[in-house]
Amino acid sequence: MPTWMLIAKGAALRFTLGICALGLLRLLLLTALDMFAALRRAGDRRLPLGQIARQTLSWVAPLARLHRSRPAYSFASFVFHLGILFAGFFLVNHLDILKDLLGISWPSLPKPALDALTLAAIIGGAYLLLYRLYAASSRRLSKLSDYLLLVVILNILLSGYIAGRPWNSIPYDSLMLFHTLNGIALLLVMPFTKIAHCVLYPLIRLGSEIAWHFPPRGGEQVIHALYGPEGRKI
Amino acid sequence: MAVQSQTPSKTSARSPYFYHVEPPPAGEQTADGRVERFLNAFAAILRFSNYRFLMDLYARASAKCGRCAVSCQVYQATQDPQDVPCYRTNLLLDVYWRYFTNAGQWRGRLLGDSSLSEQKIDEMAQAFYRCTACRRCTLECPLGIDHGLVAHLGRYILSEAGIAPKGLVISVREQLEGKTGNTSAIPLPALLDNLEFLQDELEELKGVSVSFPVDQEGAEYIFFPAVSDYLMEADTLMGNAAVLQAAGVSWTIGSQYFDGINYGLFYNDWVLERIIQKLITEAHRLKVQKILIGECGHAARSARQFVPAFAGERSLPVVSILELTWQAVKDGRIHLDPTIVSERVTYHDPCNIARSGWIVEQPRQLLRSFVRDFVEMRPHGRENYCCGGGGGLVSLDETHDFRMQVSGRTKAEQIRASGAQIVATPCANCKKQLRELMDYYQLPVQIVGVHDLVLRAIQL
Amino acid sequence: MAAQYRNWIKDGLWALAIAGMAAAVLRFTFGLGASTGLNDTTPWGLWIAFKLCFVALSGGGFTLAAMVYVFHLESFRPILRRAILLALLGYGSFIVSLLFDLGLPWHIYMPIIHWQHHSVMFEIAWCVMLYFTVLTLEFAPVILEHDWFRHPIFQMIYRALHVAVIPLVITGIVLSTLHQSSLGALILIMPHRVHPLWYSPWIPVLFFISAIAAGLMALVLEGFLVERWLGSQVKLDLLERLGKVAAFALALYLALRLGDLWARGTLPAALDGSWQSLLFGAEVLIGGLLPLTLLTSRKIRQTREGLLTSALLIVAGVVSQRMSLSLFTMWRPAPYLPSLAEILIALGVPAAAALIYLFFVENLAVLDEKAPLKIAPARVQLPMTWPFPFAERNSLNGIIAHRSGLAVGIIAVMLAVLPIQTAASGALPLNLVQPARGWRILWIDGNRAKYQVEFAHAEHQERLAKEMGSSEEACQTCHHLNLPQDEATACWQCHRDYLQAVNIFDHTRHQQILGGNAACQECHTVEHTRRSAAACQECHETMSPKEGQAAFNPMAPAYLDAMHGLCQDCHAQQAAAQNRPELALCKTCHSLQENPSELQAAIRNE
Repeated sequence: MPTWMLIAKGAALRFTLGICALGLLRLLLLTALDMFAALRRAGDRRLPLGQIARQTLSWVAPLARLHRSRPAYSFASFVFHLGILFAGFFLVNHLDILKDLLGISWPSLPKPALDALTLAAIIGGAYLLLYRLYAASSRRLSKLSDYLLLVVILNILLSGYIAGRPWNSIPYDSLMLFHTLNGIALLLVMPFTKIAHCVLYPLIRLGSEIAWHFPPRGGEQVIHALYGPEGRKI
Repeated sequence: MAVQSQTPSKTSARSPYFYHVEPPPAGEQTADGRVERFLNAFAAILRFSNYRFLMDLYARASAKCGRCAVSCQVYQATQDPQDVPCYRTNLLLDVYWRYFTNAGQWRGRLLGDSSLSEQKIDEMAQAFYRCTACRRCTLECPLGIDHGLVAHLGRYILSEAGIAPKGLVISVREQLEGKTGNTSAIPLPALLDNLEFLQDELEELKGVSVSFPVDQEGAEYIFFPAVSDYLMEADTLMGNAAVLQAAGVSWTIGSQYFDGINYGLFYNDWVLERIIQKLITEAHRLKVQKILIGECGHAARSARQFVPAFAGERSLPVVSILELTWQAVKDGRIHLDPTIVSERVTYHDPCNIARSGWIVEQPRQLLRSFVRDFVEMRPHGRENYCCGGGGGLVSLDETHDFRMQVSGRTKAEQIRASGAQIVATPCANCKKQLRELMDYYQLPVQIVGVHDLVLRAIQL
Repeated sequence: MAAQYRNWIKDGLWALAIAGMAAAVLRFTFGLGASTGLNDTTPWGLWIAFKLCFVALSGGGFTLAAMVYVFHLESFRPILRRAILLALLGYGSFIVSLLFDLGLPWHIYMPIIHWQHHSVMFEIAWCVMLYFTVLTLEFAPVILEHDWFRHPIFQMIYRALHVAVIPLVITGIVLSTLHQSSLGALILIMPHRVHPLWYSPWIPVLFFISAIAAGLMALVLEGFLVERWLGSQVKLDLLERLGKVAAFALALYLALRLGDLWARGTLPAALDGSWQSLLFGAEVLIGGLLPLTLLTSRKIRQTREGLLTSALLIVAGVVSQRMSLSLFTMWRPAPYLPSLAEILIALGVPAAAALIYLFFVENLAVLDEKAPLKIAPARVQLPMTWPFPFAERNSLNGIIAHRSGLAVGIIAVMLAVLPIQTAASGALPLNLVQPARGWRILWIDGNRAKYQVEFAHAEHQERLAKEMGSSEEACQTCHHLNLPQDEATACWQCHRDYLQAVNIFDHTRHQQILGGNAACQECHTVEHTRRSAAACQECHETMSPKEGQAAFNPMAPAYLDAMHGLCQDCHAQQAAAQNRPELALCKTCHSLQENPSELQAAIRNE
């Protein structure tokens, strides 16, 4: 068996998937627990749940918004996410590995469609990377990890895409090894980096709303903690 | 209105920021350095408030896509990367991550970098007040991060660490600890005189006697306008009173406390809660059923949002005068003459009441019902642009240059493009800022409150 | 102890407990065979050894109860609750560990219904069940004293338990006397497995007496540990008197054990220099006589160091006795190596028990009948100073955050190191064939028992060459098929697994021959998967089955089947034809001269 397949079917991937899946689940649960605790402390517990849900859902498929501001950027970002999700979860080779590992599977999508999506995602991702590098506002916002994560994802998409092409002259196994290693690196860091937004997304808007529900006497306790029981003058 | 404008050099001589800082009363500092004080304040606030999970959530999820930049009128004016809302948010998130998470503490111990410094505090003190807290970027953030809330928290921490704008602190000091108990330092006799004057004026104007009831126990509403309206917005107040009288609403002004302004919303949760408590106490003293807020964006929002939060069992419903007036017009209890206001009018949404979608349609329908030439600015409603004076900036005269050249520029262009002769806006802060803007950009536009126009058209 | 050390120790215990739970999932999902080193010939492993120790160290429960309630030694009452808690957790650990050891753990209730009077296990099952219930009832008042149980119903139960305590205690003493010794009786029914130095017809009595000594000294040890943990002052005078009682029990135990060995003439075996004799010597001298000497001196007994040392030595001595008996020196037909899952479960159970112990001690009035001895939680100091303690460790959410992070890490490691992949995919574990070394005789470990059988390669080669007249063809009789033009393919190159058929299609080779990546389309016309690839016959026309021939199957039979298949059929035929039944016996090929051992002896006897 080629090295990459040994990795893809071996202990490293099990460890990685364990860290990734359980780590993300943990983040989700902890955030939910914290949010419950915050809501319990709040004086006013009413939440506009319908409005929050509508807004959250509207950004899952933001088709109506893409053209409104920064159309190119928005579109690039959209196809980037779409490509990653579909190629990641519906490629038959990935599903085969998952079936080997856990015994679960679901229908895959046809390869040509995924190839097109992957290509779009690569172009979109490249645009995002260039934007981060060359737009002053984004560059100022970015740290090393923001670039690295994007590069790793692009590596995965590119190597996966090229490996299946007949015109490719790089040995298949080397490419797949590169693909697998990058994939494992990405899965491993998912719970610890901003990619955690893949599971935290549904909770962010709700969290922002809950955070506006201040607990009664919170400010007073802060003053007592900082200035003692006499407090301070304004 | 004469605006006291200060040169930047004079400003920087007194404070390192573009606003004056009011140092806290001497002898109360708990720690020596600003860094320690900042971190102490941050720690205490995280411990006793609901911000901790939010910081965790944002620090974990913020993708830093920078999409919010396009929605921010400050960034639009300066094109300075430091004015991107997400950049501002990450200033605070970095401090949180470094000092209040395991990962950050370990990294700090191992690498010893990205620790908090005097410069970073200066940067934050500057950045969080360059934000007008309009929360427009919140609508544009795909993830739903509320940069306005982070700016609010940043200002709260800064204020507990001793950095708060002098204009706000002095007003609040008078409101909570001063003799007059309101931000404009109006003594009660002066207020009563003023009400008598307004009553006479209204009688002269409309030929009908409209009362300004004070301390009427058991009334349905207790009325809290921005207290500065008593001094500067006579027409708005007369409009309010005329509507209330014509609609047959029983209402009262409290003699012990009559100020709707709550600068706590801009910089300090402790202050916010204390002011809300004053509001509640006065409402219960007069045994009213509801709280009515006048034409003031942040007063309406802070009461609407935080009366239920802080009053608990003693909470009362909070109503904006705009809701009440529109309901009265719909019910046919008041009649507005559609022939009187013939100028081209546009409506400016105060961010605090429009961003949540609370008061967007009511004033529009109200204005459309009697204004012949009503136009909209683009964009408007929930996605409106801030006047540029939000977040308390308008109360800081020394920020005039910033408000005119930077934060208000987009709004001025919007108003110019709309071609309106009158901008109606139900917010004391917006009105002051917009008037200054019109002066600065020399636009022949009149800035009025919604009830100023209602007053002109109402038939008593 | 500083709060952070306590947290670290708790983290460590949690880590062990979580790892144990992960291993438990493996054990219960895929069974004993897939997860442990145990098999039909080695049913006693690590878990049994640990279980014997749990019970031995729980001996303080009934001893203390007897001392307080039967002999009215009221001065021991302050440590009674701790003794009962320790026994409760010891027996709890025993029962939980037992669930892992049972082949059908969901049948654990069976002894209640189906009475098997002749079984020692039956007696143990009943005694453990009843004694655990008694211990629970004895400890229940401590739980009911907590603020949560203010309800009148709980108060009624509390008073009822108070009345019932004397009968409960007497039942408890009787039951534990019975089964401490019947655990020893288990040894009596398999004397041939036990090393002579540890065997004794008196072993039930030895178990009982040593449990008294070990249980009391475990209490002493626990006293010192709790003192470190909570910073409370240990009652040295009480522990000293426990030491005195334990010394009597220990003296009796040693006298009986050594006396029996001497009387039966086995004692000289202790001097034969084997490692077992050294272990025995260390156990008796360092874990028995030395602490006995220490304890007889009142001066030493009254010092903390003396008491602590003798407690450690006695506990170690008794643990060594149980472990040596059931694990180290027990006779086994094949070497036994506990699997990782076994070790993790064995350690996880006491780790979980320790966490429960700490939870009770920190939250209930275990140490002091008046009030729980609570550790003051490290509350936020006012005014707050930085660095700020992360995530308010003492808040529930903070604890959950911390421990769940730990759990994620441990479980991920477990996923990697525990062999779940084979069982998860529904296949048997691979038993890769080792390439043969040498050619005259190949050694083949056919049944995974670390026993190799010999295959006389050269002899076969010569014989076949003679029969066929050409050595080339002779080779191909066995070395066939896979690699074109390669006539000396070793068996293991295709028959890669001992027990399963393996797919021998060589993708890399086909890819190379056809021209690398560009050639994918040659076989994968629709999509790049194995499912949709072209069949072999489409290119290799010669592989098309001729009439009466089965289609080519890329699955190479298991090594065992292939090798046996070479000879067995013919052997069976010839055995019948020539009326020579021995031809069909295993021993005919599996010659025993080189590897005389009991297992093969057993085969021979058949």
